[in-house]
Amino acid sequence: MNSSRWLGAGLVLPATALLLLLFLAPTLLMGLMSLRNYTAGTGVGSDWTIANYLSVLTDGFYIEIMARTLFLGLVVTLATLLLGFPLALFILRSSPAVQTLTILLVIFPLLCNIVVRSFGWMVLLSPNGVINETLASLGLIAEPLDLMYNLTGVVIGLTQIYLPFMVLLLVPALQNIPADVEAAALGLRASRPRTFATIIVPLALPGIITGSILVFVLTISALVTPRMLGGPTYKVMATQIYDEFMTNLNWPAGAALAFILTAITLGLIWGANRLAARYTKGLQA
Amino acid sequence: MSSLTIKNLKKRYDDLTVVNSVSLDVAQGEFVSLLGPSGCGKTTILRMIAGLLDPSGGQILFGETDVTRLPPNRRNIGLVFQSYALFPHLTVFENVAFGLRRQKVSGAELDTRVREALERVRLGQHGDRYPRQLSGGQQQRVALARSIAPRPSILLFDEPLSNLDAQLREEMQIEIKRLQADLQITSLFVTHDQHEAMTLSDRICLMSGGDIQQFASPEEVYFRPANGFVSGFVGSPNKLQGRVSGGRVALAEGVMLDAAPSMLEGAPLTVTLRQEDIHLVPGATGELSGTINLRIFEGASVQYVVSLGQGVEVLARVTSRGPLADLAPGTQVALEIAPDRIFLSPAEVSA
Repeated sequence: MNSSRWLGAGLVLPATALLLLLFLAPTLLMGLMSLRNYTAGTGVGSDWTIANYLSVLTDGFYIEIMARTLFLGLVVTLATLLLGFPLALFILRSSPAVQTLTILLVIFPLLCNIVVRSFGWMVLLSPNGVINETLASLGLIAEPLDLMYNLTGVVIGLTQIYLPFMVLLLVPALQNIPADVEAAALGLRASRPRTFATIIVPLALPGIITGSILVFVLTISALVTPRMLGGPTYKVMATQIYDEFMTNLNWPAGAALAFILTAITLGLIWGANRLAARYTKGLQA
Repeated sequence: MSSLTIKNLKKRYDDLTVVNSVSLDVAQGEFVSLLGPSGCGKTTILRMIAGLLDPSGGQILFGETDVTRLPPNRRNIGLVFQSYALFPHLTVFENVAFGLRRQKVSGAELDTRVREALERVRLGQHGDRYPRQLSGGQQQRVALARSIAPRPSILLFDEPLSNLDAQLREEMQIEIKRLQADLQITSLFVTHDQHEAMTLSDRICLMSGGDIQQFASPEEVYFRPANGFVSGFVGSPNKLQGRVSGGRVALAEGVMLDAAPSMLEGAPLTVTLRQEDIHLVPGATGELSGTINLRIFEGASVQYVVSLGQGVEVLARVTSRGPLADLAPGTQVALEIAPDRIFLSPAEVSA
């Protein structure tokens, strides 16, 4: 081996070692853990079993949590997409100064800690929070609205937190659309709404898919916001995994749940990539 | 199909005037080029006719119909862009079918008309391909087929050949010319390339600074330029600075040109001499004479750099098969220029 190859090996070694030691090894340990039996009171046993997976996949309690998590992911993804797309278009079509300012405003919330932001939403959304107090004092509502400790609160919080990711991925996707294509469609007798639906959206599809995957995956694995805005009763997969480990001390069940969440995530990414490949055939050289 | 008329068309951005009250008319079936340097307002005019830009004033008529306030999708136009602007996510067939589908053409008729349009540009076999799988020339032909398929009343070209290499560009010129002659569609062609404009057009509208400089046939524009700008833009001109001296033109001390300027004695002026209008007589001395400095062989023609003394140089071009094709550097030549081939303009109007 010549010196440049040694150099190459040397350059990737630290990262590789770190990854092997701190990611793959714990994952392996967790995998083994998820296959151990568990007895309440005595803790993790030494027998091998797949009961942890079976119970998660058959128990109505877990199935409801998984369904709720996926539904939450879907709602938040759609919400960020619906809010993010017009915003991305606006950014793209405004003057450079406005563009910079808007992008800064989009990024700005990311600089604030997620706990603080979630707490901020609690102040706004709680039964005697800012929103309910204002509406009540205006005489618009008699009883406080249920904005927290349910789907509504978690969706509002997560949508605000993940919107920047969607926007930042949509802007370059829309930027890649050739300039005259829209004019060409208009010239070919397509109305503006039709041009948007048949030209702009399909050409932005790569960005829409990437952004959606990212927001979906972040949402279904989010812990802090669902815990704070969903409360102890609104359980999603991430909070349940946390509870299995930290409250119930049922590590095998938590590990199994974690692996199922990972499997769902990987399956979705794979599926979305297949979908993207089919619908963006002409976009790849 | 219809004629195109624009009346006092203006476009202003704040205090910047891009198009300054332009009026022109294109007869039914006529091919007109908007020719000019970049920033002369030609593309702005085209985009206003297409409805992609709102005019600051004036009127656009297709035939008798005022379309000034109509959105682009209701103007029945065909657009061809420099960037081709094909829809990359649709096949060639679907690209061409796009405008037809908006006209509610479907089924067998749709199929026939798409095939017909693709046959016209000799791409009948490529319907299933995606635009990325085609060469630049093929893509532009698809764009051409796409624009004619819905049978527009007016075809608008925005520098469609500028992205193609020289050989392909000539092929496409012939293609466009043939297509337009067959279909007799009123066409407006924006370009900065005078050869393109000359080759294709029935009439050329030469523009500069948001104004029309001359609107005439290619022959007229070439042989009888309306002003100094036109003479400097068309052909391959020499542009020289001179001064009125004793009723004639002095290019430098002792270098006199046989022309009769209408300006006042001593006034600075710009002299435009076409390279192909300068006739060289080797071995002779005349009113205007000089020495060959450099010979440049260009294939069909030979270009000479001729020094007239006092630092004044002109370029002369002769055919490479003629008797003047082989003058060695250092040869003494007399320059003969017909007086009506010398274009004079006040110095400040020089382009």
